Amino acid sequence: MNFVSVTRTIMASVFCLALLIQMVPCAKTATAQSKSEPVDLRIYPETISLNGARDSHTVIAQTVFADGITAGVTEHLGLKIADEAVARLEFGRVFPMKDGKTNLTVTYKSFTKVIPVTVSNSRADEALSFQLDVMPVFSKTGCNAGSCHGAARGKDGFRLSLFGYDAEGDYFRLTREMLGRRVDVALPDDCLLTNKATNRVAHSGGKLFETDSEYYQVLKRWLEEGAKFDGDEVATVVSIQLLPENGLLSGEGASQQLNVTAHYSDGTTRDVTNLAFFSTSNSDSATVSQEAMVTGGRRGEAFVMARFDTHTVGSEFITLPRDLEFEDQQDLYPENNFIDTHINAKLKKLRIYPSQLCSDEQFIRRVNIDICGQLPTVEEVNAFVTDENPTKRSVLIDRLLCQDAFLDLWVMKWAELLQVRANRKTIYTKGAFLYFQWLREKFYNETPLNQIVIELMGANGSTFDNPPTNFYEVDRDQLKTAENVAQVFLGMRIQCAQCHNHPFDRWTMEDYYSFASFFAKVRVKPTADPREVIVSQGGGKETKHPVTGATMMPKYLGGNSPDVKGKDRRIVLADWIASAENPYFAKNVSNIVWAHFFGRGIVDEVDDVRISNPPVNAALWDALGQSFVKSNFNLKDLVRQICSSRTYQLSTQANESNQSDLTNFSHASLRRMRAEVMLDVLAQVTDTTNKFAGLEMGARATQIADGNTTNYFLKTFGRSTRESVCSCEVKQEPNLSQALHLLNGDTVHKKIKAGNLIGKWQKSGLNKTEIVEKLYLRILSRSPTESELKSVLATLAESEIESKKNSEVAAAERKSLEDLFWALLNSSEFMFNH
Amino acid sequence: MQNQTLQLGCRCLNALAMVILTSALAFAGSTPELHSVLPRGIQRGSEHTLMLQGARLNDATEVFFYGEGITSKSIKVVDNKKLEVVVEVAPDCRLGEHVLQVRCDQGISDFRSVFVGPYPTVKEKEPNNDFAAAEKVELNHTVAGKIRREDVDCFVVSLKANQRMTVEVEAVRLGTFLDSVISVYDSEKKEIAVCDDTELFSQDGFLSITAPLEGDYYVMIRDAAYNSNNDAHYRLHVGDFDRPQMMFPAGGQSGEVLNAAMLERQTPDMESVVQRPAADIQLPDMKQSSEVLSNGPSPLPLRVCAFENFNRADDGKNLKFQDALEVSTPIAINGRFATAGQQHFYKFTAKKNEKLAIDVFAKRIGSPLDPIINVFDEKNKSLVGNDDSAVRPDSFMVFTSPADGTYFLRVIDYFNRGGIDMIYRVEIAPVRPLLSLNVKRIDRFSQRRMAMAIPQGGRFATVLSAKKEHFAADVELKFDGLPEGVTAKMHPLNKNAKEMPVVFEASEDASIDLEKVTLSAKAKIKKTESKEGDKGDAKAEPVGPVFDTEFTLTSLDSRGNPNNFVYHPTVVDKLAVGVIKKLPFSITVEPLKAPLVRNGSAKVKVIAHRDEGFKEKIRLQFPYRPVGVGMTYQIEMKEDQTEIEYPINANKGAQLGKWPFYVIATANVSGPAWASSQLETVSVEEPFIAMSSKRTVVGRNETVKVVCQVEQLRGFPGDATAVLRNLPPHVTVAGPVNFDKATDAIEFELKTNDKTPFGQHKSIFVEVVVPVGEGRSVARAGNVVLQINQPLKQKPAIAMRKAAK
Repeated sequence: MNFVSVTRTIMASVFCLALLIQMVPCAKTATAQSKSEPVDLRIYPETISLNGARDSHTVIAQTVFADGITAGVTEHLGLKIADEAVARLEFGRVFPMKDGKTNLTVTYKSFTKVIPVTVSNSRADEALSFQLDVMPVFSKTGCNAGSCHGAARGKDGFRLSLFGYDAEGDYFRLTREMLGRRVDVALPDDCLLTNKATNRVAHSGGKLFETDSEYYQVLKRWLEEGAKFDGDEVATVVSIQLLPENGLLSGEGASQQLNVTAHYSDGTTRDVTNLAFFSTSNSDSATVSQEAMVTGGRRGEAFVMARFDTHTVGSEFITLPRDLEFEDQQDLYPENNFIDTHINAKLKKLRIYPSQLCSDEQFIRRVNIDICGQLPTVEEVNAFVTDENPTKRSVLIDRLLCQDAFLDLWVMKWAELLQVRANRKTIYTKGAFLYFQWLREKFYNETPLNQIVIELMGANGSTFDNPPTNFYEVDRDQLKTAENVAQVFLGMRIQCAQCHNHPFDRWTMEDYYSFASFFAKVRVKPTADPREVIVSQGGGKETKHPVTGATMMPKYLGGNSPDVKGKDRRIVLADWIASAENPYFAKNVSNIVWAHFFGRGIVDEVDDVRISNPPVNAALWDALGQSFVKSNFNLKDLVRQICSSRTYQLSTQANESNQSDLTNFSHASLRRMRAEVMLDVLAQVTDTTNKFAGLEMGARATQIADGNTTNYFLKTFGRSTRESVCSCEVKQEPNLSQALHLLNGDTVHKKIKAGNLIGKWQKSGLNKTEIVEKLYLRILSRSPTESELKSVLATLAESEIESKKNSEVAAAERKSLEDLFWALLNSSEFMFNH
Repeated sequence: MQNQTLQLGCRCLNALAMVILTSALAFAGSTPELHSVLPRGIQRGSEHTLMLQGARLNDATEVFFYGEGITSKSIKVVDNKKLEVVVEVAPDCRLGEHVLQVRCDQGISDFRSVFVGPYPTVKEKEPNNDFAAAEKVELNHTVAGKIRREDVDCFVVSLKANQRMTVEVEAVRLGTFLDSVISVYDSEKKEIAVCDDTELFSQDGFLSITAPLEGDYYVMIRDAAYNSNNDAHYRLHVGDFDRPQMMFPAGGQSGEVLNAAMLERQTPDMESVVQRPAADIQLPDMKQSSEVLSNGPSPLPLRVCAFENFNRADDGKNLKFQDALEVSTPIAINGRFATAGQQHFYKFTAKKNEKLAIDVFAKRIGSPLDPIINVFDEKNKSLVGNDDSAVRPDSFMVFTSPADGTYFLRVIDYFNRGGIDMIYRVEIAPVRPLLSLNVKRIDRFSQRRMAMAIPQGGRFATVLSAKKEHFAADVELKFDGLPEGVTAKMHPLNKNAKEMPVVFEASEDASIDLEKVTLSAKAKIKKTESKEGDKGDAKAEPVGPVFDTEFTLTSLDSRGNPNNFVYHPTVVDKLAVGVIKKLPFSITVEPLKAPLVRNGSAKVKVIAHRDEGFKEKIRLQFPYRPVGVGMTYQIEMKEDQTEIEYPINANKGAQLGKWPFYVIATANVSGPAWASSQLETVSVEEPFIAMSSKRTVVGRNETVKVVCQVEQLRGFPGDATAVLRNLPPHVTVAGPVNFDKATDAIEFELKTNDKTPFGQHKSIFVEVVVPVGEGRSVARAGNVVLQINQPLKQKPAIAMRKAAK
């Protein structure tokens, strides 16, 4: 390291330290009160209906305290059956005795609840069903999991379909693949199925259950009954219910018993708590055992899920510190719009106080970067800070929304989602460029987003004459197109369901292939120009289910099967997606926009909407979607709503109650500027230009049309390569390469030199204090603090003393000021939007 | 470090070699090259100086053009790589592309093109990248410019209210890859018209506006994705000329007067089309397609056929099969889908096995229609259909009538569109037997050795590629208009062959000259009029011509992404055949004295005749190879060598028959000079002998007899000899075995020694040499398998093993 760089590094450290001091959060304490007297007792289920001799049902209980805290009290319940000839109690479980009706009386402290019990078919003890009884055992004990026999090639020579998507196949492999070994109806206790599961024969998966367990008894009885496959009509699970629906646990160790009830297509219900698989989204705050017991951990919220058959449902559990005192201070946090209402409601539930509003300097910088991908000028900062107008923040938002830079940013974001790039197989540079131009035109004309989707998905014709047709050239595989549509427009990743039923969501292979069927008829034919093709609807084979071979007709995800006869299926789908009634589209788009302004989505990742990844604030999510629909899918309106909210304008400085909250938007988060914005901003503050292939000199990185156009800086800072629709394409995590590139790479240093701002300012007669002030305002949108100014000026003075001649003083000053410039550009305060 | 030094040394040597090589090639002389012609366009009716750049051009004596209208007046050799040529363009010169080529004393260059336009040319001057820097252009001028990467060129034109301005660009047509977009802005800098691609000229666009107000209008040109070559030329014609996109009907009968209307797009988005009143056009008296000139800078295509037009009215009917309009073939139907969703049906009759070519013109006549055609029978059953032919998206198919009857042709648009411009022309005519010929490419893209430069008293040769459509016959070719003293030697083109060699010979006294030669062909077919009983006696004799012959050469310069796609091939229909200065060497081959049998080999003796003092290496190649005959790509004669044998061989599937061949030689005569041998014949025949033997087993230091059964496939006179080839080392065999046509088995006595390698040797074969006339036919007659066994190892006695333990 030479002398210059040593000096530079030291100076940088001094400056950076000074800057960091500014950013240390200042904690603020908050207190609140919570009471611990139960005010209500909830018993689940509210009625018990037993059907058949083998049926039984558990009863669970939850008490509610005045402050909303809940507690599980199942084990403390007093239970009594009114007519023990109809039903009996055993270990808190209700079993049938004979057909009839009776009541179960539940008592706890001063509460008494009566649960009606109905018993029917008490004598019927039908043979076990492979699909209804045996396969759930495989799922519960993990036999058909991906790490075990559910792997694509099975495990140790035996394969089951992953999570049981292929019952017939499983039955075949179990009973026909190795005759006489896997199952033995003559000796049910001595065949591989029972021996392996109990580890009596060496089993890689170990012992799964004991011989006296309920699961073993199911397998044994099924074998004894001849190991038969089900008849033609087997009831299917229509839905499952996880109870209680939520819980507010007080302190570590607080627990709550759960209950899962399955509803079948034949109208019956069944307590499947012992067959459901349980998981939690945040084991730090709440764990769940496979015996259905939730236990509180550290402060926070968790989504506890139960999976049975193809269904997954969840309950929300919040754990608070034991005896937390909380005082409702809503009055101190005025609500700017509906966003704040929903955020505050959630924060109240979590006993969290939001942070204070950010300063004007922080706001103008934040909103400029977020809306336009640029920094405010020195003049703009000064004018804004001194502006007395109480609505100045709204005025600023409106002004920024009118700039082309705002549209460029969103054209870029959608170009990423739509993968606008020359893939050099189906799309060449011209196609990508025209596609981008089309998108840009749509945004510039303020076409409602749903309209853009309709135009995209229904596009016919040449990829040059009608560029949205390139949508179908990104990937000619109809399955991939279907997956992309689901991910981009509906925020769902349905890829799993291509090969097996989705393990964490409700999508089955039927859903997947029915959805893909919307794209079965897309036809592509070449033209005289090898870079151009014609996309149209027509011809093409129907989509087939790969397991059953059945022809799959179009069906909306989570919706019905539309009539597509004589229609362009893509347009039918587009109309559904883009309709105001669509349950996903508006919420998904508004979540994408939300995530841009907050660094994380209400559902996060934004394109991973699934039951097992619930929104942190469902009410807000719904409301945002409704608002977006109401504005006729107007992007500007949505951004205006978000930026106007108090939530967006909160400070990054946390208080005592919200410092551990990273998900509920109780304070603003530090967000590194994305690659393109950062490069543009660097050019802006250094008064230099960038050059990209296919764009004129000085064009901004956010205006890059072809996803392949990049440079080292953009690559290092995680620019999207547009190779997939995944939101994970854009990487905003800081890393060492980025820091090193800013420190030692040629971007910052060269730009400072090329722009020669310090030289120009010196020439115009500004003194060094003024220049320092200007630099701070230009780069950080704020003036230096007194201590910063003092420290900087002292450092400058030192370097000037070293200069021997007068003529060298100006040069030395310029050099030192450039070092300051460099240090400011390397500061976290510059790199992060805060 | 040592390695680095070594590498550096190697690099220096390479560099030195390059310098030497380059300096040798840089000398003027044989095989001149023409790389570019500047300016890319000139105005007709005036004199211009063209700058021709290339290599080895300093003995240039003539610049010749393929079409009429441009004559070269003088040639000034600037240096080895540059010529200044003064040309005169006749006032009635055809507009568009004209191909030229340079003849030098020692060779003929590649051909390149120059464009003739109606307007004076002004050169673009940078910077002109925005409205502020727009260059002033007068109407009816052509701007010759260049687009660099991300470049935009801007021009300003003053127009009066209601004045018309048409802008047309020639870019891809010029040979450089610039996918241009032209746009017009009003004085408020608001875009009022834009054009990217057109059906008529593909990537080259044109547009017309009528100025709403008096003022300055800006014309901008750029690459569609700012992604052109860095050096992409264009010619931007700005004028008040008519620029029809298409005409309707788009063709007519040869020699007749056609009443046709011009259709022109004139609105900003190029969507709506104006149809001008129809006018009479006298069609030329030609057999096939031609083009009609607009008064703008480039021609509008027009089909001319031998048969008449059927013009259907824009009635919007014929949606149903039953309403088909009746036509009789051959016919050219001109139709238009005036409204969306139309289907047009035509009814025609055909005899059983009659083959009708159904060719739909849309893009080729400037129409945006994307036709799909189907032929149905009377029961409304689709028999055959086509969407896109090789000329996308136009359709073409051959319909073979399954029986005498009435058939229905349906024409629809791919997107069921309708509009005044949705025109098509369907030509239904009996299939045209066609022979397409061109010179086989040596390189994928260059024109190397595609012009025939024959040295005085020497020879040059080429291979013609032939494609026969709708006929099968041996074909006799004829070159018409060869320079005096030049003859073309060739054999008839075999019925099954796709290539044939031609050797051109120039007499010693042939004057140095060049002609553009045409090719004609006649079929050698069996008499078709003979009676059924005469089939066996029908003699092969030339009749006809029974087919059309097309000769084309294509320059593949205008290439771009992807995969070097050729966006605008430049085509000529004549072959440049010229006599060049005598070379200091020539070659001849000795006729083969014996046939080349299948699985056999032969040696072609090549004799070089060197002028005294000519001591260059001569490399020899065998450009034409009959099917199944192979040889190494190239062999080399050393500086002082005058004779060499070029080994050739035939595989077991080699095509039987007498095949022509030649050997071509190249040596450095101030550049690579080429000379061919005379045309010779090789007769590929069935072998005389086949041999087989059983596996022979032998140990080391033993003698064994290999017995080969001889299968006499056809008789031969005298004694033949057989030898074993490819024996493993340390196996010896007693001398060749003689046998005659009566022998049924022969024996070879083999000896092994103590070093003979063990194992099975399968690659041994019997080579037989059979006397045929004065020569000898050499062939592999069969394989021999020899197994050298290892003696069995004696197992040690049990007691010994125990002791060892």
